[in-house]
Formats: sequence, structure tokens, C-alpha cells
Amino acid sequence: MTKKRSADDVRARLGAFIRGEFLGDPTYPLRDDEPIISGGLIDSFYLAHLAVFIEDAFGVVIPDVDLAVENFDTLDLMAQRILDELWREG
Amino acid sequence: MSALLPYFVADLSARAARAPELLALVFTTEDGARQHARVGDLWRDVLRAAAALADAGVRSGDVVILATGHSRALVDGFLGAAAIGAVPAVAPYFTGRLDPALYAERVGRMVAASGAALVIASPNLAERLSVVLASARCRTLAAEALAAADLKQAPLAVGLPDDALAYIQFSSGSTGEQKAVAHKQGAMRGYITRKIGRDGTNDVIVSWLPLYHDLGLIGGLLTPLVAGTLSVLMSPAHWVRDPKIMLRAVHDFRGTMTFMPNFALSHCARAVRDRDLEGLDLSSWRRVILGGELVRQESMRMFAERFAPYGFRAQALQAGYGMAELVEAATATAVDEPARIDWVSRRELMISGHAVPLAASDPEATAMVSCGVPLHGNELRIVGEDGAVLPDRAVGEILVRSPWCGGYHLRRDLTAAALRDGWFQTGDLGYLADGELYVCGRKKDLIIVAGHNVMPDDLETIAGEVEGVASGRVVAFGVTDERLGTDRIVIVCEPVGAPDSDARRRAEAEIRNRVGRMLDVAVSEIRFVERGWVIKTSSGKLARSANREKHLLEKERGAA
Repeated sequence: MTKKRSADDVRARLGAFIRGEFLGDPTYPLRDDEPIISGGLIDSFYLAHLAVFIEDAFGVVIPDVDLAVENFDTLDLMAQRILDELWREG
Repeated sequence: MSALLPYFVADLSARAARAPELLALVFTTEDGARQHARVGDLWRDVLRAAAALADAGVRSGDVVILATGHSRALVDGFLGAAAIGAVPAVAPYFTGRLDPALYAERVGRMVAASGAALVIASPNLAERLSVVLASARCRTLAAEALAAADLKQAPLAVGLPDDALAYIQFSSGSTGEQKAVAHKQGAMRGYITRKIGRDGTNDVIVSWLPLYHDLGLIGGLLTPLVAGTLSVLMSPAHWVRDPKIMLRAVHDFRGTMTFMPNFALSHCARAVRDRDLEGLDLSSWRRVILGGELVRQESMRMFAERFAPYGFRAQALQAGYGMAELVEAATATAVDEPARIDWVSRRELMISGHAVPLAASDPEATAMVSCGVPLHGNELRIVGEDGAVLPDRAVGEILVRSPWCGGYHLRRDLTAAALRDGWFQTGDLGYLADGELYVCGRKKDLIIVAGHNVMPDDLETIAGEVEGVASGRVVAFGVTDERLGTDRIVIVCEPVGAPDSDARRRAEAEIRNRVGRMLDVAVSEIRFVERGWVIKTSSGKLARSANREKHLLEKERGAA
């Protein structure tokens, strides 16, 4: 699996989850760089739910102190964090 | 002499002489560190804050606003102000998402509404606030100054009369004029004494509610201080990010009582992982009292099931109803019994305004959760639009007659408008059945998102100022998110002209941005509709519930 391809996969799974579970609108045209929390699409309390999803779906544990808006505001940021953790683990 | 001290600190002072080693408070800082405060140490910190306030020129009767956020300075400053006979008031916490300039303006409106003499501010806000407040003859004191003063200087207030003000609770929206509810020494003593009489003095409180909320302040801090019971406090921002901290605190300190909004049930059930629960024992938790937003049976069921394996008992889930004007709780369900569920026809409730009982298994049935019976000397009645008292099971406005009801500070006109023949007009809707109160809807279409009150007027004002949105042709309302057990915000806007999709998108982003900076909440859905869509009453007022019904109906039909 190439680097490009897996980043797309991660973004696609995250995007589907966020549109369905958080926005309640599976058809919402969410852009990869759209700020979903600072942009006022979802409340920051969803970060805790996102961490549980990321752990279940990708096996990546996000420490609570890292659950900040600046680290998880866009699909790009989330995917980057998940891929960094996956590659670190090898 | 301690019996003559202001009510909030009299018992603490007496205990400091008698049992200074007892643990009074566990204060969890924003980064998770637990600071243990023994009675003697807490009292010394309060005396130091009192001295600092006196040094800063605060006198008995002056109003002091605390804009410190979640910090020990908030606790010390509140009690220190009370100790010298001043009147403390807690401002909502500043969060990173709020615009600091707008926040400072809001504190300025609180100063105007309360006539405050001093604002105690966290370092990041002190400078900005001193600029905003310069014209209001209100000074600013940096929060660090509270711990720096010489403690022997505190001029404690002695022998305050019962009608001296004890504290002020702000209760209103964010953009408009602030309402400052004032409570007196005698009323606070009366209320808290009754409360302790009912609850006893063996509880360990675990609370993450903000101290600017009446339930967080009275339930989480002041009642335990008077009762001499342990309180374990956390910050709401920390809890939201990491809800397991509340469960850990219950386990670690054998917590018995917590107050929280319904949303907290689903948040805990969904955002706490199994591995975080390993080894936890929640069997000490005998009362989880739900209040502040509509209580939902489904959220209760979800929470009870999720935590039963860790010793949580479903009968600990209780409920109450109250508001800042009535000090705190006006009703609550019985101790050691689960809140009663009343299964009624959803259709009849909506159409005829009657709670017609149905079997729980009936697909038409909806579960209403009891908020219990009137407590602490409060009386309750339900009235129709003509003011006539309604029979059981008829939905009407909830009125409360309370010995502890406060008034709006400096605003006799508002107080007079809220009280009719001694009955406080809550504006909330509900019905009585077998003496128990069931709440159906909140005041002035109030939207409650995760326990956070949001006034639709604020949302409409903010959205109406955005380019491309027709001012006055905007309506905001909440729709229920069943899974989260709270409201989501929907804003329906009529456009100016015929904006293309890019212009709409820009307007949507701008509305969300402004709402976030002013109110720190997200807008779930922004819908642009054609001109003339928004329904107004014949007098030109917005009919929010009619607009809400229209929106939901169109959604259901797939037209929106």
C-alpha cells in the first residue's frame, strides 16, 4: 500500500464517520482542509468520541492531553496524526 | 464570633479552629493535578484573598465579579469576597474559542448590570478588561494578587443582617443585557440549611460543573463547605475532553453525589473506553442528579447499562428542576429511588397538551422523566395562558412560590414582571401527575446544547448581521439529538437577493465562525430558504415552534 493511498483511506473512513455520526448528514460535502471544530460545524466535546473511534478503527491511541482542537480540526490533520502513529509503530 | 460571619464562610471558619486537618476540597487543575486543601489551609487562603480584596479597596456590600476561569483563585476569591461582606459573582469561563474582545465586552455588560466595583481576572484577560472597564469606574485585580496578600489584614464582616446581599448569579443570554439575580444572606442560609437537612452530611460530592452555574456553585462548592463534606471539583473543559476523570474521582474518593445535565450520561457512555474502567468501583455513587436540561429515559438507560458492571446502581439516577432565581433546586426525585417514568402519548402531548398515559410498549408512547416533588419549602402550580390553575396532566406554565426567590439586582421592574402574586413565572412548560413534576419545554424556546444554555435570540441576532442574510428573517431553534441526549442547533435564514452557492457557503462559514466566537457552540445545520419562508405571528414576532415544525416536516418529506 502506498503512502498516498493509505492517507486517502484514512481520510475516507474518518470522513464517513464524521458526516454520519457527528454531522448527521452523510451527504455533507466535507473538504479535507475544512476546520470542523474551529469552523463551528461540531462542538469540541466530539473530540472525546473521535478518540474512541480512532482507537477502534485504526488501533491508534490518542493520549487525552493531545485531544486538542489544533491537532484534530480537519480531516488532513486527523489523518496525518493517525498515519504518523501507525508508521512509528511500524 | 464565627457564627456572626457571613453565611458562606461562617462554618468554614469555625471548622478551621476545631478541625483544621480535615480535607475540605480536592481541586483538580486543568492539567489533571489534584490539589488537596485541608480546612485550615483553605481558610488561610480565603483570609489572604479577603485581605487582598480589602487592599484593593473592596468594601462590604461591593459587588466583585470573578473572571478567573476554573482555578483555586476562583474559590478563594469568591469566599474571600464573601468573608469581607462583599457580594461575589462568577462570570462564565473564557475558552480558547471565544473572541477575547467580545468576552471582555460581555464582562462589561455584567459590570453594568451588577454595578460591580471590581473584577478579578486571570492574567490573559486582566489587561484587556481594564481597558473595557476603565469608563465604568470598575477596577481590575489580577488573580495572582489574591495569594500574595498578608493574611492578618482581612477586615472580616461581622453581624451582616439577613437582608444583606450574599451573592449574585448571572442568568441570561450572551449578546444582550445581562440579568443579575441577587440572593440575600438569610435566603442562602434558609435554602442551604433545608438542603443539608434533607441530604445529611455524609456525602462526598464529585462535580465538574462550572462554578458560574448555580448547580455547580451551590451543589458543588457552597453546600459542601457549609455541611463540612468533601467536594472533589474538576473543570468542565477537562471533563468534556476526558469524561473518565469523573468516574475515577468517584472511585478514588468514594464519591456519593454528582449533579449533571442529561448530555453527560451519553457522553460518558460513549466516550469512555472499557480499559479506562478496569478495576473501577462505582458502588458508592448513590445519587447522580440530573438537571439543567430535559432528562431523557433513553440516556438514563444507556448510562445505567454501561456502568452496571462497575457497581453503578440504576436507582442512583435521579432528577431535579430548578433555576438561578430560586437559588438552585425547586424539585427533586426521592433519594435512593430511581426517577419515575411516565409513558404518555406523544401525539396528545403535542396536539392537545395533555399527558395521556399509554403502555410503555405502545409505539405512540414517549417516556417522560419525573423531576420529583417540590422541596425546601417551594410550592408548585401549573397554569394555562389565562393564568388559571390547570388540573393534573394538563401542560401549562410552571409557577413556583419560593421562600428563597431572589430578585434582579438594580432592576425592580424585571423582578416585578417575573413575580405575580408571589409566584415566580418560570416560562417553562410542564405538567403535574401524582404530585410529581414533568418538564416538557424550556423558557422562550431556550436551546440547551450539552447543558449549555443558548438563547435563540442571540443566534438570530448574530446570523442576521452576516452579509447575505436577511436581518429579521432568521429563525433559530433546537432539534433533539436522541443519541447524544441533547439539542442540536438549526438556523434557518432567508437570503438577501439570490446568492449563488459560493456566497451561501461563505455566509454559512461566517455564521458558524461568529457564533463560535460569541457563544462557543457549534451550529449543526444552517439552511437557506426562499423569501417568505419564515413564519411570523400577526404582530411580527417570530413563531419559533411553528418554524421548527415546518422545518422538521420538510426534512421528513425530503424537501429540505
